[in-house]
Amino acid sequence: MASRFQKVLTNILRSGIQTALEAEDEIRLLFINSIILVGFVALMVFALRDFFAGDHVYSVVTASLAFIVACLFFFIRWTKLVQAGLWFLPILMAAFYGYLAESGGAGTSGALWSFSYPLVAIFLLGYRRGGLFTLGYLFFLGIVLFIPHLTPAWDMELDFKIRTIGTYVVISIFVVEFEYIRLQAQREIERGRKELAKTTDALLAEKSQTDGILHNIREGIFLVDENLRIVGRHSDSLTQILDLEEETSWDFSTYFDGKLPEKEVQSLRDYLMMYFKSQVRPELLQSINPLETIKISTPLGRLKTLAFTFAAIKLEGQRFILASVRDDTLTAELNQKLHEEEDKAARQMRHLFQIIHVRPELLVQFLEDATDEIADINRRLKANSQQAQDDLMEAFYQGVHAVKGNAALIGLTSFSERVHELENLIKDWRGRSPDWREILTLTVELSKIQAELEEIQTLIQRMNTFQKEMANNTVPQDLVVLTVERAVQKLAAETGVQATLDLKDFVTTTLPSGHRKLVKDILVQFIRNSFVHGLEPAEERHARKKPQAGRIKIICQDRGPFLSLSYQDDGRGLDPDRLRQTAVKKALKNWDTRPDHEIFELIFENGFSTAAEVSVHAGRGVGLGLVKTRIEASGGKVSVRSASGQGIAFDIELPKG
Amino acid sequence: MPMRILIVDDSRIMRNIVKNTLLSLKYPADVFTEAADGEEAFSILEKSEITLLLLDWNMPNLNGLELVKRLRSLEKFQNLPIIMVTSEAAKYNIIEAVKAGVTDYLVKPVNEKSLQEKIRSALEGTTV
Amino acid sequence: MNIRYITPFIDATQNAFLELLGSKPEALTPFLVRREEVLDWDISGVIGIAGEARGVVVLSFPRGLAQEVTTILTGQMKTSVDDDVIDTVGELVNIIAGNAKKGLEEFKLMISLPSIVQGDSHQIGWPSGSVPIVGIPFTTPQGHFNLSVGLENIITV
Repeated sequence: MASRFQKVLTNILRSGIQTALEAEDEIRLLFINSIILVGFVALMVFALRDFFAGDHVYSVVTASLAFIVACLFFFIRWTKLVQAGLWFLPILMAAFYGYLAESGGAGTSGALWSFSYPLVAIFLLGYRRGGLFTLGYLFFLGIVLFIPHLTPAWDMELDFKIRTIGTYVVISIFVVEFEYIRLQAQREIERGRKELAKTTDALLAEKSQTDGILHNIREGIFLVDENLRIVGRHSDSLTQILDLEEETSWDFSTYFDGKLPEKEVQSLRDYLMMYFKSQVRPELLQSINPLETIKISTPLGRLKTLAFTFAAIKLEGQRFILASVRDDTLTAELNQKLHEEEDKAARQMRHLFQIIHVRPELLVQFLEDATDEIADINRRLKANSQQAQDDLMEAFYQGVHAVKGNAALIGLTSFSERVHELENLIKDWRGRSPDWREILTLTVELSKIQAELEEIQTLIQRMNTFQKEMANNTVPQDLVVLTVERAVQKLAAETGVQATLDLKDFVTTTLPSGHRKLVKDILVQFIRNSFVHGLEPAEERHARKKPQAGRIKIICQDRGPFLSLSYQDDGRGLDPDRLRQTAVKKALKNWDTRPDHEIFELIFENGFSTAAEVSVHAGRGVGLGLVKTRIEASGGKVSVRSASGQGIAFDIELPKG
Repeated sequence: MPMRILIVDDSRIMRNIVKNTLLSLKYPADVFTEAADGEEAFSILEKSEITLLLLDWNMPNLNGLELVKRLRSLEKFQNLPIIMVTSEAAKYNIIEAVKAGVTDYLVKPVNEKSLQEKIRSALEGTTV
Repeated sequence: MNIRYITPFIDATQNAFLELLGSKPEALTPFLVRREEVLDWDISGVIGIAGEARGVVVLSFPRGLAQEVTTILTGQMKTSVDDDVIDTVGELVNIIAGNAKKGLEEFKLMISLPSIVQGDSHQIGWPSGSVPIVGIPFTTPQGHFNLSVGLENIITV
């Protein structure tokens, strides 16, 4: 009941405003509505009293005022314009109080109402604006009290007037002062509240950050107290790294019980306690961390390599170890693999070194024998279930011993050492029945030796392949082709002349190996010749109605005892007149009268070049001369054909032998 | 209290190496006292005011670890800085020594830089 | 031969020489030491190993090299095998054995005080039983020396 009444009252006083307001505004709203309600009731009481007393004018004025006040109440309620009420009410009251003071009110006590004006004005409008209203009203009161003509209805002693003004001033000052102090205090509280809110926000943000870190970090981070218990919160990864079932508080060192030898767990406890008790240097403690990297089997039976780090910290005066753990299993595995690979490579190098010092036929014999021997041992192992085991061990030993002896004999020392280890292992087991564990060890060792034997065989095979490739008559087919193609690409790029290469009839398999280098060099020289002297730039070719890109064609044919090689391009060809001129310039005798096909032979003369300037590719005049010399030196012939403007062709015959 | 360093090692060569290292680090020659085993060291410690003990582990009569245990059981030597200088390099040995109460631990062969650093921090630790 | 348990001794030897004498000796091919073998060395430092494995570490020098090493360490010219030379050999073998324990931490080992054996072609009293002894020759600019290690159940051949 009380709460419903309270709700209704609150609703009335807050003008039905549900939302939270600034403390200052809330106080003013409550205040204004209180004044309105009390004022309305009081005014109505006065109006009725005056009415029944026959003082109708007063009654109507008072009732009107009550009506205005009521209007103000509803105005604020509907419009929620609290501010308007705050301004309007002091003005209304100034008018009303002024009227009361001026008219003298009931029993000339009207001026007494004035004393409440500073309270209303200042509480509603604050000490500044309210103070101005108060001051204004003071002037008004002074005028009413001291200018005689304005107060026809009543008169009072001068003394009384002065005291009235004095009281008003004193009340005003106290109210201003009170409001000022109240406001300061209010602000102080507000500031404190805001700061508190800010701090709370910051703390919340920090907490969510910590949460985030602990949740997302890949390392297991946890706190250990001086009883070596894991306490407080830890990163989510911890349970995953250690393969734990979630536990709130447990002894960290017990995690290692049964995973490490007992003395090491004890040593670990001693170590961890050092973080709490002694003043040991942190660097020293770190350097002797027994869990720096440790390989253990987790509660879920997984083999993991873990790396722990520890640091002493103080929280609220209490010492803790801040510990972190990282799962290094993958790194460790990788390292191990790398190690194994390195070992293998080193072993292969040793084998290789030894193999090349062994006489091939001995090596082949050894490999056959050793493979047989091991196959035999394996057969015995398989048949083991029925056979007497000491017999098996003896046979085993004999077999291994033979392999070792043979390996040592031919100089495969590292392999022999390897087998020797196995031999040592079996030596003690002879004459008794080994258990299955020992047999298993043997099998594993045997498989390793077999693997090494295979490794040796692979190495030999590789060496064979290598040797074959080195000695083989036919080098991989495309080496000549590749060189020719490269030369065309390179020269096209350098000279800016486009060209296509036709190798359709260039069958390099028919090339005897002895001629490969010669053919390659000749073709490169011809190609160079084509780009420098023969093939025209695109515009020139266009003008001559030739395809934009020049064409080079190489043909290679098997012609019984001879190999016929032909090189053609569709460039400018040879200009017999120009050749003649050059011949004359170089004072070569008799050349000016020779027929064209003989004139063409000039291009094979050393020192003869028609190129205007010397470049890397042209103008030295030795290229084609050298070609001819080399061809003839290998028993072949070369000739040239050309139609001016149509292209050039070189025909070569090389003996096959 | 004036600085007095007691070097305890059964090898005279090793004592000299440690001493010469410290001399080259500008420690004055008159701060050094030497002992060849734990018992001798203990009697020197009882008689004179030593401010820093550089102690070998493996020694005849009374070894370094036993001396540390004996010293730490006595009120007078609770705060004496002790640096163990030994060839014993295994972690479990170092843990054992720290547990017995050494201030710091240095594995032989001694290196000038780490010796200096460890002496400085051991002496700082006591003035705090 | 299991190299893993030999390397801590080789590393310790090289490190000790490097730190104390400023140069790193080179390890040559290891060999098996026969018990009855008379070693061609003049002075040897011997340290016994006890704990989870029994064994022995022997550091052997020719007289000249032992004197030279001592000369470097003490700064005094040594022309005979005096107390300082004996002290040096003992301390060196102590450092080698102590430091090597770091690489053998899976076994809890204790080392004895060093003892010195000298004389032309002296013999070492190897531990009885079947412990194989591995000899590792080292070479320095000043000459050869030898480290022999036997560790029951740990170093097997």
